[in-house]
Amino acid sequence: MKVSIERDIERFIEKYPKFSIVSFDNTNYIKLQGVIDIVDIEGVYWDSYEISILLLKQNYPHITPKVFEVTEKIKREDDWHISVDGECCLDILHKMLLLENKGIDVISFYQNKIYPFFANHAYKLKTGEYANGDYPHQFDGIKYFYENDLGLKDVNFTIQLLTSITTNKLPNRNSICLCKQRKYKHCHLPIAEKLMLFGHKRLLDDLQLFKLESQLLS
Amino acid sequence: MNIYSDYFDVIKEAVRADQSGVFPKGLAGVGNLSDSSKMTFSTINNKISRKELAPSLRNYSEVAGLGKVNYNQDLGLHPDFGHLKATDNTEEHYIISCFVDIAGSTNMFKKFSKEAVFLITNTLVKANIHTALIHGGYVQRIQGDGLFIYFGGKNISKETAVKNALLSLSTYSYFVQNDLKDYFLSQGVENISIRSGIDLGDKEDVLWGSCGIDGISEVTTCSLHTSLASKMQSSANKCGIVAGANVKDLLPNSDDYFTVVSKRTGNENDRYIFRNPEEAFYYTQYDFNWDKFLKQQPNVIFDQTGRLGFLVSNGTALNPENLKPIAELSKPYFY
Repeated sequence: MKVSIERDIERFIEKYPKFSIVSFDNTNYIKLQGVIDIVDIEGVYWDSYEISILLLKQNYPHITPKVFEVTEKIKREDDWHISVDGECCLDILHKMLLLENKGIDVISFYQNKIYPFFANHAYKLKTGEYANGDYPHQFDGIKYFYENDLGLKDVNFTIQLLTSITTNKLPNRNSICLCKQRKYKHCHLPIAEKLMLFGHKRLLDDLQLFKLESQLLS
Repeated sequence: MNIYSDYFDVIKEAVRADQSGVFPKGLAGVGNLSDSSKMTFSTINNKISRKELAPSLRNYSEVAGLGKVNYNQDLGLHPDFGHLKATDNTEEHYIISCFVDIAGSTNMFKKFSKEAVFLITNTLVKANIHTALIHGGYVQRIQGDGLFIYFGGKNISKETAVKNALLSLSTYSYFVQNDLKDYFLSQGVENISIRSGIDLGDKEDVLWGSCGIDGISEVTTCSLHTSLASKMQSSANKCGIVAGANVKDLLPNSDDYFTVVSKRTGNENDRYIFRNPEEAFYYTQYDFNWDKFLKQQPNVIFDQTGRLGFLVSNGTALNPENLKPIAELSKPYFY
């Protein structure tokens, strides 16, 4: 069944009536604007933020919505994961890419990405730290993601693996793994398959960044 | 925070006391309550003050900027028409009549003692009265666990009174629909719901006067639209509100909230609640979508899942542990 952005937005606004469509930018984007109320699991109200959500119509549902904080309650500083113009960095790019490839729907993106980001801001204001930590900035964040979320702690091996994937020179399933430890299928195959989900372009970009890092350190 | 949490807590306490055997079940010859049971009964019954709103509702009322509550009222004696009491005088003035009733409450007797049913019913009546009062309503009569409420008077426009009345009925319906119904179901009491009827009578259609004999009298309205409000309550669906055409006509964007009752029932005969073919008068009854109406109000909030709540002052009650399960779904990044 074809996914309709208009129908998804209608369902979203029905569920969250404080949002409305404020503009159609040429026909390429739909902009939603409204108020997000932060309420904890006991139903206690914490705060509200005015936000806008920009949705690219063309490739929906295979898009990553852009989210902007309008009220300027969040300090425009890197440590608050927000740009000068209010764009919120909701998650590491790789996880957003996975969502994009899989396809999003507006309601679940709001519930699982947007709402927790603002709840986390309110949480940090109260406690001084994010509930689940945050990724370091820029390449350090990507490196952190490879190390902690994917378990690839050796930069040289990461470069080797990314090179093999992007040049399509991975070992056969029953051959010895790139790390020379075990058969590939019992070793780094699952990680390689996970990486491939990020797409060729993302992996090429990551490879360049890791190579640059390696050169700087050597 | 649930604006009815204090009322809800009392109901739960009454049920707990009943289940622990504090109150004897209603078998013949059980006899009077023991002193300790009387004390428990009295303690629970007085948890909600007779004189003031419970704190949770008061908090909402203050944050929402609702009017100051006038507790100085007597049943059957609307303050704007009190001068008519025990006189032969009458007066024409518009009024909004509302009838609210808890449907299925008789089922409570299957599960609870009469003492517990009294405590529950009294708490529901208090919650209903308080809800009406914060929205400027005047309670004309208590009928079991239901109320007959007037909205409007000499210093308030019909438009404002209609909005207040609908907000009051909607807020109380929300409580019954979302909190009570599920709780009673968990206690084995089925089919608890609320039904409301509301209508507006214009000045020329409403006659105020003192009805009855001296001590046994009330200042009340003689109006087709008061009668129809009661009748429309019977037309309401479970947790529904049925309103007359006069109410619909005074609410802005009314087409967003009202649909003819016949659309729900599939029976065209239900379109009109009153017909007078001789004068070509056909009066339409409408289902009011109170959930949609509440969602458009300025003092409501929506949680992560879109569940509606009411804005209250959180004071110092913010506990990070209660926000953590939501916040920890996020791990932000900066590129």
